[in-house]
Formats: sequence, structure tokens, C-alpha cells
Amino acid sequence: MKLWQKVFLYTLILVMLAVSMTSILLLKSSFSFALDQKKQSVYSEHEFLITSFKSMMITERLRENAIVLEEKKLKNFMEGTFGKKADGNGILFCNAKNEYFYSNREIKVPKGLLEAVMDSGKSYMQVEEHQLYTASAESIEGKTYYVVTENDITDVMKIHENMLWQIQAISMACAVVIALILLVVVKTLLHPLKKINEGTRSIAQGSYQERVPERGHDELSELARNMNCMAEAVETNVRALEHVAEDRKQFIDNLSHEMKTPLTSILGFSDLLQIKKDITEENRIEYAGIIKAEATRMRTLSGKLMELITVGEANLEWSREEMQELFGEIGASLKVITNNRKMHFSCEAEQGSLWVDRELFKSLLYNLVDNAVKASGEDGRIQVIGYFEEGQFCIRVSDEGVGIPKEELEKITQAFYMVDKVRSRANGGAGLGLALCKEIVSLHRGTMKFESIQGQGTRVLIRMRGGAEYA
Amino acid sequence: MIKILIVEDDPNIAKLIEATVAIGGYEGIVCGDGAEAFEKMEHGNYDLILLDVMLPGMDGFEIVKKRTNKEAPVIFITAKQELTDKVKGLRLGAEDYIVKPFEAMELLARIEVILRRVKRTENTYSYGNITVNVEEHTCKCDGEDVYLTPKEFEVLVFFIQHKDVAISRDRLLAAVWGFEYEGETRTIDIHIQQLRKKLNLKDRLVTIPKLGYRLESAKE
Repeated sequence: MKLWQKVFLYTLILVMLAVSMTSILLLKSSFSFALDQKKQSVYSEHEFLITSFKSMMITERLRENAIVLEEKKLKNFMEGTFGKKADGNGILFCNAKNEYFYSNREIKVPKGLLEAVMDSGKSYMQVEEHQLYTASAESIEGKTYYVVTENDITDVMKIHENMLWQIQAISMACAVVIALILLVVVKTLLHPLKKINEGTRSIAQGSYQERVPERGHDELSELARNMNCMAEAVETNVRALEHVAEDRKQFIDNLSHEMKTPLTSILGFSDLLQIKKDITEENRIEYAGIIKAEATRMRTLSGKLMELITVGEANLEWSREEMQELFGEIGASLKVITNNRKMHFSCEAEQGSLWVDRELFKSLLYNLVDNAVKASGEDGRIQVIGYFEEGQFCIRVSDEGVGIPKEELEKITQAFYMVDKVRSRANGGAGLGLALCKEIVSLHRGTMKFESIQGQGTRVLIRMRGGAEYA
Repeated sequence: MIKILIVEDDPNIAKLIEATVAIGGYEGIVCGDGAEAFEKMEHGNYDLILLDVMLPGMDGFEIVKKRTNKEAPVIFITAKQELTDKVKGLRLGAEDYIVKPFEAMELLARIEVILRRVKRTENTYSYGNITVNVEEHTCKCDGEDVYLTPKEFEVLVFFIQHKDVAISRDRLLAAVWGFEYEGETRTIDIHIQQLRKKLNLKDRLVTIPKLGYRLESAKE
């Protein structure tokens, strides 16, 4: 059963119960009031009847000139007074032994009535089947007689029954009206719930941008608000997941493209070498050279790729390194490359230590300097400086090379992104260096920023807090 | 001579394609930039265009969309192997879509099919004393008709088109019988023997051990 049906049904039943109970109680009390009044009037009638009978009997005694009327004469007198088969109220006399003495018609005395009078000597009244019986003990002609009068109270009962019918009819009418009103009220009150339900369903089915309406300040609008909060969280997470999936797809697309280009050359030229009949010596050397160059390119790519993958796998070895020493060491090995190109190269850092993964840190500097070397021509100037600032270690790598166009700066840390494809390939680049650097910097809890002016040079700024400190 | 425009930014692959089309006897003109290629296509007169999708300047799809000179058929050669890209390429009006890496013979076969479709190939080929007419399906040796079965005829034409190239049995099967043919490579050997007998090619249609066959250039 639906909630609105339950609320509707229970409320209706309760209201109907209350209405019927009240009306029945009211009816009961008004009926008993009417009956009391009837009883009172019947009782006074009863008393009046007996009093007048007694006085009439004195007159009879005088007329008969007897002190006491005999029983037979008394019966005759009663017959004379009340008649033998009367239509109106009935009257019955019993003697002290509870024996039938006289009645003006057939009267069925309710059981126990006379016995109660006999025991207590008081008067009693009892209702039985639309008749009201009144019994009292009277002393007539020196003997005790019990007198029972029977009065018809059908009118009172009829009124009661009529009212009962009316109340039932009114209750039914009330029930219909109340039911209609309740239906409207319950439906209106629970309408937001329906909306929330629909909203939730459509969110669940995947339209995460959907929101449910939140009007008012009741529990339902609170529910709606919480629902919306949940939808918001779900939406954010889903977007994030989609973003990750999108990035991954992009990465794989790029990777497959980067793998296929050298593969195409390798397969193609080896195919040519195999199927062609006459190949000039010149061609053979050229083709073999290309195959070798492309294979080398694939080796570089797979090496870098492995580096990038293993960096993500957090098998890091943290150690506290003296920066001045480390920079000196790295600078010495990089000098070999820069000296070959007759470049001005300096690499130094302030004194101080930092928690780093030694190998990754070296790889970071190698990659940055490698980029700088590739960007600069012969005679170029490359400077690597390390210093401490506000509790962070800062690295600045600056060159005076070709620079990077402004609109490309955002994308250069993406895997496989190359500003100048032809140049990068010629230099043996795979487009993975900066992606690797970014990964290493973020492992050292740092940030990396690029500043570049085309034609004047590039400056890389890194700020890092180093690895988490292990005491 | 049939001129083919090769649009490819990787110089090695461009050289590879150029060398491959040279085997088929076509002239290849290499262009490494999208925008430049677009200009060449608009104003030049080429019989076929081999187009890479990812290009500097302007990408391959865009070039095909924008071009107004639609005379030359286009074949995409790209590393993008997704079905949606394939469908997009073909929808744009390309004649074929080849995914890198490809085999030299496959590229040649596809070029051949396209050129035949747009009727830029000759109907007759001659090889020494043998002349074949593709349209009439006839073969003459020293001016006399030689009867060949349809498959023998196709095998012969394929060899004449690829003189001096070693052709593997698998490649021949794919080219003549179709890629789905599940027959044995022995079928090839029988056809080759028939051809050698009927046209007296014993010395010129040579067996290359572990590879296949080659039709050597006719000696003058």
C-alpha cells in the first residue's frame, strides 16, 4: 500500500470512529434523559391512579356500609373501576403471596420485578419491550397488595430509533465529505514526495545534473535538499571519473600513435628490403639506417614509459639529502653534455637538506636540463639554482633558448605532447619528459610553473616540501 | 605516368610510401604539411592522394572536407584505427582507409583497386612477348591467343603489375582469391605451374625460396 493510501485510510478510520462514538454517546444520554422524564410522569400517574382508587374505595365502603370490603367485593369493585378488557394502561394486583388477584387485561409482569418490591417494600420501574412497568406495595383493606401498572412507551423508543437512523445517515454523509477533503489534503501534502521520487529515479538512471525541487521548510523539503546534496556529490565524482577515463583514453590514443609511427617505418622498410629484387647499395644503407633510427626511438619511448609507470607505483626510497652536494654531483654529470655543445652551464644550491628520492630527483633535473639543452643552440646559457624559501625548497632552471608559445604552456606537461614534433623527434624526444617531471614534483609535494618568452628563453620554477618526513 | 601525392608529416614514413609506390611504377610527390598539401590538391593535377590524418597545419579530415577539386580519389593512411574514425574518413568521401602499420604490397594492391575503379589504369599490359587486355580478358603470346582460366589470368596480371617484386603466396591469395579464401597455398603453386607451361615463363617467373614468386623484367 502506498503512503498516501495508508495516511488517508488511517485518518479516515480514526475520524469516523470519533464521530460515531460522540454521536452515540450523545444519543444515549439524550435517550436516557427522555426515558427518565417518561418514568417520572408514569410514576406520578401510577401514584395518582392508586390514590384515587383508594379514595374511591372509601366511598364504596361507605356505600356498602362495611368497615372492610371482602375480597370478592373488592375484586368486583376493581372490575367496575378499571374494566375487564381495557385498551389504555394496564393495571394488575397481586396479593401478598404473589398470587394473581386482578388485572384489567393480560399483563406479563417482568421477572424479578415483584420479588424486588416484596423484598424491599419500595417501588420499582422496569422497561421491557416498549412497555414501562411500575410496581409498588400498597395496603388495601388491611392487606398488602402489589400493584403493577403497564404503560406504553413506544413513542420514546420510536424517537430513539429514528434518531439512531438519522445519526447513521449523517455519519455516512460525513464520511464521504471527510474522505474527499482528506484525499485532497493528503495528496497535496505528499505531492513533493512524488516529485522527489521522480527526481531521484531520473538521477539514478544517469541524468546526474537533475535536481529535485526544494520548496518550503518541512521534512520533505529537507529530504529534497539532502537528495540534491547527494546528487551533487555523485555528479562531481562521476565527472571526475569521466575526466580520468578521458585522460587515460587520450594517453592510450597518443601512446598507440607514438608506437605506430616508428613501427610503420620499421615494418615498411624491412618489407621493402625483403621483396625488392634490385636494391642499390645507397638505398640499402638508407633503409637500414631508418630502421635502426626508428627502433632506437621505440627503445627510448619504452624506457621513458617504464619510468613514468614505475614512478606512479610509489616504491620510493626516501632519504635526507644535502642539497648543495647533490646539485654539485648532478651538475658534474650534466656538464659532459653541455660541454659537448659548448654551453655555459651552472648548477648550484644553498646549503640545507631535504627528504627526497635520490634517483627521482636526479631524473627530474636531468629531464629539465635536457629540455633546456634541446631548446638552446650552441653557446647557450643554462642555469640551475636551488634555494630555500618559506620552508620550501625552490629550484629554478632557466635557459635562453627558443621558448614556448603562451598557448602551449598549459599542455606541455601532458604525456606525448610536443610543441615542435619534427624537432623533438629529430632530438630523440618521446614527449614524456615533462609528464614525468610533473609526476616526480607532485610526489615531493610540490608545484611546477613555467614562464617563457618566445625567442628569449624559458624558466621553470619548482617549489617542493620534499617527501613526508620519516624521523 | 600516374602521379600520386603523398601527404605525411613523418619524413621516414613519407620516404617509405614513396619507395613503395615506386615499385608499382607510380610517381610519388611528398608533402609534409597539411595547409601546403591542401594548396597542392586544389591546384595540382594528381591521380591519387595518400593522406595522413594527423598533420601539422591542417588535419586530413579537414582537408578532405574543404577541398573543392574533388577529381583525385583519396586514401587515408593513418594510425587511428578506431571504427568511428574509419567511418568518418569514408563518409567524407575517401575511397579507402589504411591503418598503420601496413605492408607495402597491401598498399599497392589498394592503390591498384582504386585506380582501376576510377579508370586511370591502362586496359592492356604487355610483358615481353605477352600482351593482356584486362577489359576483354584476353591474353596473347606472340600474337596468338592463349587460353587462361579466370584465376590464372588474374595471377598473371598481378605479376605483370608488380614486376621484379617478390610476392608471397599469402599476398597472392589475398589479392586474387580474396582475403577470406581459406584454400591452401598449394593452389597457388598449381596456377603458377600452369602459367609457366602455357606462356613459357619457366625462366622468368622464378621461385624465391621460403617466400614466394617473382616475375623478372623481360630482357630485351
